[in-house]
Amino acid sequence: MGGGADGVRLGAAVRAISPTTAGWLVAGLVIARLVLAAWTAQAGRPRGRGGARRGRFGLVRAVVLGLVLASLGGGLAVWGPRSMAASVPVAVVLGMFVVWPIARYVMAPLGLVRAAYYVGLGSWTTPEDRAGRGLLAGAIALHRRRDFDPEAAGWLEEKIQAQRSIRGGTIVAAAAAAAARGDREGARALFDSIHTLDPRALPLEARHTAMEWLAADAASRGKWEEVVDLAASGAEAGRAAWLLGQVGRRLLGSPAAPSRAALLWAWLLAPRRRHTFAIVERALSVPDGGAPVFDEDDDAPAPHAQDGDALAKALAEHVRLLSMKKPAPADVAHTGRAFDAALDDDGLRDELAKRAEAIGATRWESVLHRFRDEIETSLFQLLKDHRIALDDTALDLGDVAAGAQRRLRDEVLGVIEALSSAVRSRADERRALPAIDEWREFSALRMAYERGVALCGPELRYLAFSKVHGDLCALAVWLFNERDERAIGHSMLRFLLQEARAVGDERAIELQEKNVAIGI
Amino acid sequence: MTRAGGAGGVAGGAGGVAGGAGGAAGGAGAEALARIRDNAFYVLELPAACSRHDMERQGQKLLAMLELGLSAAMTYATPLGVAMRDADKVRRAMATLRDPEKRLEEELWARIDPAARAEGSGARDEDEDLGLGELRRAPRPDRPWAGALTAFGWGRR
Repeated sequence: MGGGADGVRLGAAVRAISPTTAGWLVAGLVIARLVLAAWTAQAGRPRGRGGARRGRFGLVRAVVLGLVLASLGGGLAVWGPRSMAASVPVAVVLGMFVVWPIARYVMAPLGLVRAAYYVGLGSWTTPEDRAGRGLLAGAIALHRRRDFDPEAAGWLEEKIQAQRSIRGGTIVAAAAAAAARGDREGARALFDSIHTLDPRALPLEARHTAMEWLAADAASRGKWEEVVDLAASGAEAGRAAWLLGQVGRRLLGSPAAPSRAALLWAWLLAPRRRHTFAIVERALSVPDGGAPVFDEDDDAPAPHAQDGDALAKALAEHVRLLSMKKPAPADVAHTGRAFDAALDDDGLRDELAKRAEAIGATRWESVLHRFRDEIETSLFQLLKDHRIALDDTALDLGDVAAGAQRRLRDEVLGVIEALSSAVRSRADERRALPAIDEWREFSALRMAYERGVALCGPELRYLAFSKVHGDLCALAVWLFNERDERAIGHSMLRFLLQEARAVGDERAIELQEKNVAIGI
Repeated sequence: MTRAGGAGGVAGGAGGVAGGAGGAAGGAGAEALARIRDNAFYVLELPAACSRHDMERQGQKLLAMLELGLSAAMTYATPLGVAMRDADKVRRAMATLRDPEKRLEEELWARIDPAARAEGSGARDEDEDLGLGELRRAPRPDRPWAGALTAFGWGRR
């Protein structure tokens, strides 16, 4: 029968593929894939010292792997598939492809810091940021130890500090190491700094790790809006951040909240399901289409003030404002105006003068001045603590609230100026820091700048940019041109371009567009 | 390799100078509330118009009551609610009111009547009579998840 004949021919063809042929076939396919990957990586990368080196690495990797695979094929051909000699290169080749999963999902969970680092370092499936991957695996392992190991942390920190031409992996590893030491603020700043990195300098594992930590950190502070924002990029944020984003949407009663089934699906896909079930359960307890919770409901009313006493009314408003969970800019402006009215009242000044005379106080004006100063300070502190931006173009601030806003702007500008000048003087004097510390300095400056802009608006942005642009550009150019820190230098220039566009500085835009176009 | 100033190299721009002086800061919202809660007149439960003699007598009386451990002396009313009183607070309040300028300042801060804590508080709350005001409110769903970092393996076990 025809069918029977076909079956015989197929069986014969399969038998004709000997182990030797199969070995060479596999080797050939893998070599072709690796050469292709190296070639595309080389072609897609702008020319430059770092790029050329990574391109050469790609070729070297392809050649070495090719030799190993050739020996595998040769071993199979000469000694047959059952020989020990043939199984060694098989193990080597397979090992090269699974080193990262071994480092990340075996060594790191066991808390083996050094082993995770060295195994992660051997990840030859990618030329990008191998050292960063090793450091990242080591830093994650630091967290998985039952007790903090200062010796292992010190060892890892030395490796991080010694790293040159750093990319996202090293930055995220430094952030994770800071978190392991208990420096949560420092960790947050470093993890957050990945948002300014060029995506080409940020391996996927590093991005997911950073997003996971940032989302978990925000959730632990009850900042669910922040969690939702972090997870907005969906798959790019990683499974853990995505799950927390879905949880956050339900807890906040967002219109985009997932259904119960969708939330359970996100939970099933996310890592550490046993540990995250508690929060998923809480999110499931919120009814579908649940309304958002408003903080205003929790705010206490203002204390009762006697009618006709403007100062008592202002103080009552002040108490209410200070007790609010989320005071709005309009609340601050309202309280400020209440104090303006009270303090400008001649009746109060007369009353104060009389009381001063009655009790023997000689300097009632300075008492009034001190009182006003204390009120202004408390409003300034409130603006700072709650990160409230007062827009004097939209709100009638009056004198007291405007004074608080001025203080805040002066302080913010002072911090930006100090950080920016420090960067400039180091760049001018060529006093180099380890690459990760250069990034830390930039991150501190960027955060101060962005916080200042958020608090004080466009006016501060113009003032701060004119200072920061020159100073930071000097550092970025030095890092990029002379120190081969192309990834972080380029990211600083990207930040400057973004800000130049925001303030509409044509000369800066032209300069930074040219700089950024060079790539990493 | 490309260099600054050369073709394709990154170039430094001219830096402008700007920036203001660093501002001062001090305290937080809690500190500002404490300024009202620990007002000497509230601590001593005296009106702002009281005499020096009244102040000394009231202070001594409260100190004696505190020494005897009388519960009536351990709390006092403020516009923010009931606050705890101890002998140190009473002594500090007396010292403040002995200084005329400090006293004048305390008078400015003590304009709200501590007895009328909140608007409408003159009327009795029916719920309060039933004890409903003391019922625990359901926790907000969006409260912090303290164990988030640990759940993802970022905290110590």
